[in-house]
This record gives sequence, structure tokens and C-alpha cells, in this order.
Amino acid sequence: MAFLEKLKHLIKVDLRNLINVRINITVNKDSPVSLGSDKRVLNIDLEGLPAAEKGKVLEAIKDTVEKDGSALIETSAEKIVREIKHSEQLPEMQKILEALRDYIPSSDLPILRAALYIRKKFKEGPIGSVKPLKDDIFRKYGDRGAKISNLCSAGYIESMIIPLLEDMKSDLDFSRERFQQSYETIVVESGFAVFVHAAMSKEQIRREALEKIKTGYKYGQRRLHIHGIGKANIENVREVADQLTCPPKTGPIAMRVSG
Amino acid sequence: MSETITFDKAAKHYILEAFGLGLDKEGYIVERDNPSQKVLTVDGDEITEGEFAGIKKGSLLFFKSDLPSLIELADRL
Repeated sequence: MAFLEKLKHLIKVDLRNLINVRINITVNKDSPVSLGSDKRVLNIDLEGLPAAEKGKVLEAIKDTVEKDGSALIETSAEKIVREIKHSEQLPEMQKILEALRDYIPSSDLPILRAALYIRKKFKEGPIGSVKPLKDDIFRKYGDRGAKISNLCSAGYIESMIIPLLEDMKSDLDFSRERFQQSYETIVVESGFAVFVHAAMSKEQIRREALEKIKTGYKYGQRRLHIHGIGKANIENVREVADQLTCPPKTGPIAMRVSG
Repeated sequence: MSETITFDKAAKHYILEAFGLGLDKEGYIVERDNPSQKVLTVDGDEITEGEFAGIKKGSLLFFKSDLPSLIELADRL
């Protein structure tokens, strides 16, 4: 590693298993340069170094970024970057991205990637752990980002959008533009699903479900999926679904509740 | 693949100092030699110390810590 070459006078530990250089600021004046317990991370304690050595380390960091092309990343962010790269190598993620990469609007691809990562994190941990990530999507991509993220969380990428694409590809007059028209309806209208968040009252759920039934009926949808997150939401959702009376002229609607 | 060096949150001000950067009164990262010039991310966003997550060459690309930015950083590694 070029960075370590510049500091070899300072580093007197066995680096044979080293895979990363981590700079931290814990006070450990007895050993300002040390290996992590797994011997795979080199810790450099800036505050444990004499001023002149600290300057050399910082100069070496600057050089390695500007001249050697190294990346300099905050520790918790680097963990997320590694998780992103790992998760996108998984077969199930690759399958989704390969299926849709050339067909959805290119501006939606980063949203989809973020949404898939969030869904994976949601499955691995508590709901609270993904809220900041969902907020990140909303801040950058607005309502559209939130809608695509919700569609992804609810499994509609695999259960609706990819099958729709595969079905349309078998048509002789298939084109990317035709698929994108249908895709746009799903994203913008989320016409067959009501996504229930914690702040919604039963009356709001009922009103939105009836609106979705009427809209869906116009486009040939005879089903409604009400998707809630959290125990309180599920109880409200089930209560509303049990008591829902379909509007006149819509006929029977297949309703599904999940969360 | 080029090296990746990580730094703890507490080391941020040292890192910024090494690159000739500081903070303005609102906490945005600025050039020390030209404090009216805020550092911008690849997307043209201003960036606070709290949001600062990393630097990559090309000229110097700054990244925020939000998920979309980290996906972009992942693509450049």
C-alpha cells in the first residue's frame, strides 16, 4: 500500500494480514499505531502522535487521495458502502437489477438500488433502523422515491413490475416506451395498493381504499392490496378491510391485507 | 482496486484540515483560503461537517453520508 510506504518509519507492527487502514482518535499514547484485534485493521491514533508525526500522517493521507486515487471514507459510511457492494452481488439482487436496468427510466435506477438495500436492511433488523435511510430517499428523490421504495418494500417489483415487463416483452409491438407507460402508472398511482403508515386513521385508510378501488376499476383492476407496517397499523387495516363495502358499480373486489 | 482508508467521526476535523478545508459559521465545509467558497459534492450540493462521509480523487469528489450518495461512492470504488 502506497500510503503505508510513506509511513514505514512510524509503523512497526506485522502487516501481513492487513486489509484496511483505519485512522481513529482514541487516546492511546502507549501505542499510537496498533493493529485491531483481528490483525486486519491498522489503527493510527492521531492524538497519540507527536505533532510532527501527526503532520506526516495527514500529509500522507492527502497525497494518497490526490495522487494514488485512494478513497477516504468515514468509518460508519464505509460499512454501508461495503454492505451495498456485497448486497448487489447477491443473486436475488442481481436478478432484479438485470431484469429492469435497461427498461425503467435511468433516473429511477439509483432509487431502485437504494430501495432494494433498504428492504434488505428491514428484513435484517428493527423498523427504526431503516427510517433514516427512507428519509434519505425522500430528501433526494421526493414523492417518486418514496413510492418506488414502498413498492419495493411490498414486493411489487418481483410480483408485479418484472412479470409485467416479461409479459409485455412477448408482444410483437413491445417497446421500452410502452413498458414505461405501464410502469409509470404503477409508480405514480400505485393503483392497486394502499400503503398504510402509522399516522393514518381508520377513516383515512377507508377513504383511500375506496378511492383506490374506484381508480383501479377504471383500469381493469379487480383487486386491492392494503399494506401496513407495524402491529397497530395491521389491526386498523384488518378492521377497515372487514367493514369495507365496495362502491356501487365496481362489483366484487379481491382484497388482501398484509404487513 | 485502489486503497480505502477509513476515519472515525471524531477525526473529521483533522481530515478537513489536511485538505485545506474548514467550516463556516453554519457548519458548511469551506476552503480555508477562500472561505466564501463552499465545498460541493458530485451532485453540486453544499455539505456540512455532519454530512461529510468521504473523499475520492477526480478532481476531489466529496460525498455525503446519505444512502443515495453512498451508492454513488460504492460505484466509484
